[in-house]
Amino acid sequence: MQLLFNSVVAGSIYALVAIGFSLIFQTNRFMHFAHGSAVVFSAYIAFHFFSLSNSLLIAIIATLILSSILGYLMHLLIYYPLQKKKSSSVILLIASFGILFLIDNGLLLYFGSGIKNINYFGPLRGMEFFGALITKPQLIIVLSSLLCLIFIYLLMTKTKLGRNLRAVADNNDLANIMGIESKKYMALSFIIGSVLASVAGVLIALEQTLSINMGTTYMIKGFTGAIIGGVNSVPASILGSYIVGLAENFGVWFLPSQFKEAISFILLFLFLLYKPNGLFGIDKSSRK
Amino acid sequence: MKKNNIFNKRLILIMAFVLLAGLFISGCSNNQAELSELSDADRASLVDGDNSDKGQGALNREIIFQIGAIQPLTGDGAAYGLPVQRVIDQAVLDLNAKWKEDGKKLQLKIYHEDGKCNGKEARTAAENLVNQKGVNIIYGGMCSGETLGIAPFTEENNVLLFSPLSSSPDITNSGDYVFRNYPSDTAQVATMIPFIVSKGVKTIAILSENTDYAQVLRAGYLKQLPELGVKIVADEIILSSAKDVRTEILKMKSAEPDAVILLPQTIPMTGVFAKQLYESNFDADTLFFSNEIVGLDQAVNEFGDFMKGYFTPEVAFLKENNEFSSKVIADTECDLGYYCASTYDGIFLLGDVLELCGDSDTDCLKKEFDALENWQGIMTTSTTFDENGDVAGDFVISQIIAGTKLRVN
Repeated sequence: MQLLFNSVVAGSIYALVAIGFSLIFQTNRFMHFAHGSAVVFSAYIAFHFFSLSNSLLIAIIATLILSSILGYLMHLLIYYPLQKKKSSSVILLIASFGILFLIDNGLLLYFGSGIKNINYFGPLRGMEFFGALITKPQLIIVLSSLLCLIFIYLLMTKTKLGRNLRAVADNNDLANIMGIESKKYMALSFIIGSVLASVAGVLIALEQTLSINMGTTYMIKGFTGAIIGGVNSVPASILGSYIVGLAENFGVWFLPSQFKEAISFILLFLFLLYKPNGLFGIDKSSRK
Repeated sequence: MKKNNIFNKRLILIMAFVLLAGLFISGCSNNQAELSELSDADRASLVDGDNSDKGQGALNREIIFQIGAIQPLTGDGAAYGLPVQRVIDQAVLDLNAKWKEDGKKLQLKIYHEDGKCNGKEARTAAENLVNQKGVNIIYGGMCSGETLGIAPFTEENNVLLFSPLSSSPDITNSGDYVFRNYPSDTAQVATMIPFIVSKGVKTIAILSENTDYAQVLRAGYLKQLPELGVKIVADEIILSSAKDVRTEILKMKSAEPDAVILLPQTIPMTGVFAKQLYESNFDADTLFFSNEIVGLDQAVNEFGDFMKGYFTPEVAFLKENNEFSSKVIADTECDLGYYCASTYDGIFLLGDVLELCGDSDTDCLKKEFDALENWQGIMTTSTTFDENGDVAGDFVISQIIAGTKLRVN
């Protein structure tokens, strides 16, 4: 039970990263690797505002606002001009690495490398919950992720915005013909994706000591989750992320701990080689 | 056709801007000091002529020595790399002031580079210092991994490597030009093992970070504890990038050890270990032992509430009730105990040797290092190097109680 719970906690964070990544990939059709930096940016902003105000609410609101602005600016200043030039997805991918370095090093320059920790809950012992030990922050992580996942599901399936996003994701040109302004929705996917990244960032900041390079780690996990589930489907990315959490934690129970990272990578390679559309993703080529 | 060319001017400009901006900020974050170059005339005045002229302002003008320093300025190791950098800068200022006060026209200048607590990165940093800045002395690394990564390069190039913080036993035989004023980990393990055994521990679990330094300590415990009848029931090695070690802790807990040994490399990893061990509700009578990283003041201040009762070692050569030490520590905000002291004194030790040899004759520098006997530091007790460039080591053990350390032996 404890193993299962550990997997769910890890999978919840990965899922939040994966959904944003998957959403941006679907609508913009390139790998936005700087998404990991959006997570780190959010975690540091949450830390900064919490240190200034000593209010978690202010920290959360400021983080959501600033992260969505960051997402929009990334699209507006870097990706959109490149997309306008009909740049290939490889060029956009390289640009995303440039943004990743820029944000990470900007954060390092501003915040320095010292220990950054939101010690909001103080030292907590684990509480018994269905035979597993959990802490308040872990419970918040799981519940918040669940709420975000339900919200994004409802947004994508029950609203006009979601339908338009899916239309752009499905066929950009057709969506334009149907009067859906795809540019607007491509920008919106960055904003929504970054808001989800900011939720992940805040939750990480509540639970862990921050470090600049953790964004890359979470990005790899989120990316792996999205690939395993199916990068062109948001619900599939969520499931894939939980699979990564489960595989890592159950795997490390039987294998030496050093293999924990390797488990994600092995899964990633296997899926890229043998099932690139993931377990539940849509094979768009079959529609032709 | 031309319109669709992705490599048109504007595109290249945008790409170049993003990459250059990233590299620019990356460069800024390395905290490199901007220093003037040492002139050939200055250098010549130090190496030419007999020893009595060396470094004594014989040319009636200031002589500038230059050295490089390598420490982790980014990454998790920066938690001690940055305070240590401040101590180095303060020590250089104080040494220059002392030389001026003594009427010596000498000055020490230092170039800082980021070793990222990583052997490969540290070697690149050393290559920059030697090949671009022209230094012949490197002060560092501040992690054993850094020092072990630099040593083959400095040996090949006759560069003196002097580390105030590296403790890996592997450094002992890493080269003739390698010195350190921090005791080897073998002394730490030798102090901790009898203490652990004296507590009646029969079964033990080890949680270690996958770094050179932590793995050397782990190997020491793995070898020696079973010989004394202590069974290792769990042995978990954690990657430095790990933020979640709950499953590894669960494995350890299920082995029901009498005690746990924590061996992190950095203060953030200390936090990861301590917080998640605390949350996992180990039996109240489980004992926790650690390396000296856990007992650093900064770690105790940040995570002391999670580490109640932990036993932690510390180098025993700190001069106590030293007002000057307190002032330096306050000025530099270095809350790392012996780390700050050995780093500060190391600069003064280097200064004494530089006065005799200058900064380019590394054979002379090595000879003087070898000849040092009971060198008295301001913050640390006497230093003598053995034939391998190591100093003798002795550790004391403290217990973390109510956010502070209390000496227990």
